[in-house]
Amino acid sequence: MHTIACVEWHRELWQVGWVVARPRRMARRVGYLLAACALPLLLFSLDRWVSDRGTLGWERNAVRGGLARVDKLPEASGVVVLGSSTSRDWLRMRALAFLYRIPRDQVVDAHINGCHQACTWAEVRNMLARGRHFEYAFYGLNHFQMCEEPHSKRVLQHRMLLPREQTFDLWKLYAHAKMPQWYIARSIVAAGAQGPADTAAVRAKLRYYTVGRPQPGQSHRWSTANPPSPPRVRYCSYNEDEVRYKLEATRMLFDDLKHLATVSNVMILPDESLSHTTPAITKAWAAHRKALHELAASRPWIELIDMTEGGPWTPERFTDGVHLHQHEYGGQRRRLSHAVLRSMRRRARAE
Amino acid sequence: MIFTTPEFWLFFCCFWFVFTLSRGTARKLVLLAASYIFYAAWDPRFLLLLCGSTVLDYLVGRWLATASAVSTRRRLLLLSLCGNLGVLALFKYYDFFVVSAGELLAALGVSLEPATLGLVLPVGISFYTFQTLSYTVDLYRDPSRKPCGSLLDFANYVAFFPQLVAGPIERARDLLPQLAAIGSRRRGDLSGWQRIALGCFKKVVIADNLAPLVEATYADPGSVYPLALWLGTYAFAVQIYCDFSGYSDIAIGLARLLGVRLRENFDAPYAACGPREFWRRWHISLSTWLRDYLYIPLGGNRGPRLRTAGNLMATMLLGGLWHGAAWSFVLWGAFHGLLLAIGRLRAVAQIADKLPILVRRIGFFHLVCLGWALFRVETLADCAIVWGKLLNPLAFAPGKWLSEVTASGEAGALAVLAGLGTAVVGWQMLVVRDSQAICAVLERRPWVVQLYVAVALLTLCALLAPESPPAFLYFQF
Repeated sequence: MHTIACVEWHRELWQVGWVVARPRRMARRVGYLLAACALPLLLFSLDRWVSDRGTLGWERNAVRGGLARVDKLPEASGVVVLGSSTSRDWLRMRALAFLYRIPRDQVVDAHINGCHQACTWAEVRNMLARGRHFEYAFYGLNHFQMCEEPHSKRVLQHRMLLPREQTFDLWKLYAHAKMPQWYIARSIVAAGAQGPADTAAVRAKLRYYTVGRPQPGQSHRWSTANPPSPPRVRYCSYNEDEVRYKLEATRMLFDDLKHLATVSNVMILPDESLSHTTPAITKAWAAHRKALHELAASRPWIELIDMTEGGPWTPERFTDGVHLHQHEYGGQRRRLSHAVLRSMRRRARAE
Repeated sequence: MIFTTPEFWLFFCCFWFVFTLSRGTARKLVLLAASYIFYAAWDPRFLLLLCGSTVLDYLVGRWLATASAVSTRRRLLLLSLCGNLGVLALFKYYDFFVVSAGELLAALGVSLEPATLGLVLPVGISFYTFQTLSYTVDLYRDPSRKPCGSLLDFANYVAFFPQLVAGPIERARDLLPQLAAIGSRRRGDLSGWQRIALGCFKKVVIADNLAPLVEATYADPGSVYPLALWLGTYAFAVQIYCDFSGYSDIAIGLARLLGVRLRENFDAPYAACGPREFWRRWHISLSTWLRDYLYIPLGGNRGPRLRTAGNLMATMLLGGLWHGAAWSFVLWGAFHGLLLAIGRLRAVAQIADKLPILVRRIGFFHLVCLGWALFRVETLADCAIVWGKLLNPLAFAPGKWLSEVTASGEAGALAVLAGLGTAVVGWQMLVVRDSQAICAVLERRPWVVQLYVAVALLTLCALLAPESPPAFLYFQF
């Protein structure tokens, strides 16, 4: 009897121990798992920290800079300048204020470096969500920007600019890309990490501190005496597959510009590919102009300004094939002013 | 969808969730749907080829089981061979042979415009064609073998997405029973994550970082310094191993998560002392396929020595051509065929046996590197240039080259990459262990250790991946 009681007691004790031990073991396992998660989280934090600093994180800082310039002038409702640096270079804020006879603080420079159509669309949505409206918007579009060029920094721009509740619209746009899953997956990762999430900044810093940087213009010398051939001229082939996503982004941007500004001046910007007369490039430029004219024709709030007529656009006129030398802009800005005045008169007559 | 990109992991996590919840036929259907989505992500049109190949071999398999007459069985085998190899020949080799014939005629003074088709090569076609062929040939050879009774199981066997686009090339007797039972298996083997992490590390950290070095040296071999070319060739040897074995590791790991065991594809190939050993360690699933379905039917080593050498050469030439429709691949195959034939000579074996094993390994590694140089060049003319530079020590001029390296500012990066490559080859030569052995050691450790190793490897992948990683090299084959 005593033996049986002893066995029962031991069994109960063991069961109690098991019940107590199980949560402990579970807690320990959860602890290990959390510690394992800490490593990538630390990496993401480091990535964010590094990319927040200096030139390394310029894409993120460029987005912040664009938004900050908009926020700095909360009452401005005259003119807004959208797009990338190639768009901004054609416009001087003071000249725009003079052109429209409005105070300087009514002109907002909302350009973001490296901001293509989808990014500009996201920025427009961002401004609309904050209740902004302008009389005039300016946006310059380069030919090479029409071809799809997947890069995680572009997805990050979209994530930073677009209001979160409109994510589904962004995914609808991504559905037109060659690899929608590429964009959507990166969008999710960027949303979770709130950073580039591809550690590009950390890696660049790591290379700089460990193995140094190659000598500019000399990096080929370890393998060959011949310097690499100059990069080929940048242009968009305008194949259907290549432009589908960007055309959709341009269409969405043009549609939303209706709500942001009464009149939106869209500039067709030149680049050095215009000096090349190969059939492929000529055909691509014709397709570019046709596509933009078709998009603008059904949208009366869009005023298309073709800036490609002041040629010849020889490579010497550009610093990198798409940005003009500073001394070139004087004449171009005059041409732009005349084109804007012409369009204003035309609209006034029509009204 | 490439295994090392976020979109693949998004796809896989969604699939794994549904796969784990489902049972029976539903689970098999989920697996097949996922495999087809995975394949269609490259080009949905080629899904028709995959389905066509599946239906053809499934039906031929069923008919082979009922046909008893030898002539009927032979005709059925011929039907499968023509169907599978015909598609492969059309998509992969037609343009190559037409252009080559045109060039030959032009050299003879006959000018003809070659009628090329310009077809895009369907991804993974060489792999799944060989896999389906092995099924039909096995049924033909052994009438007592039962064909697959379910089209769903067979479709999963052909399209099983972890190994669909770049192998390992599985045999029906190994993979089909596992896929037939996949509906009832409760859970997969989580140790697969370990293998996946190791594969990602090999591909992303080692292969992808070596790729620019290889690209720089092989873009214009005519103007490259000979020592830089050696460096590029060593780098390519490590890149192609880490790229392909990394892919195989990820494929094996993914299959394990689904409860399927795939065959090993690599076993420390640079530890080989000779060509026979090399082919027992490199791309094992292809070399055994070529042995079983080509070399042995040709007569193997049963005939006189010259006949055996001829069989080896024919097998390796076709093996080279399997890799790609280019004469450089044929030359690479011929080079390995020659090595195998020479390796069988008694005198050569006697000399080699007298050397220390490490010397034999290092020596043979350099022969393999010469083969990789043929594999990597883009034109036949470049083959002669590259070999001319690699095999002419008088043109090396190490002093001048080192001063150029210093002037380029790339010395640090080159030293790090050279160290990485040396570590990979050195590990194989000294330790003679590949991923499966490393993972086996890890599997004996507590799960926490396994978890931290996997997380550390994946973190290193995130930290050390290049900005625009190239696709897996073997996707083009």
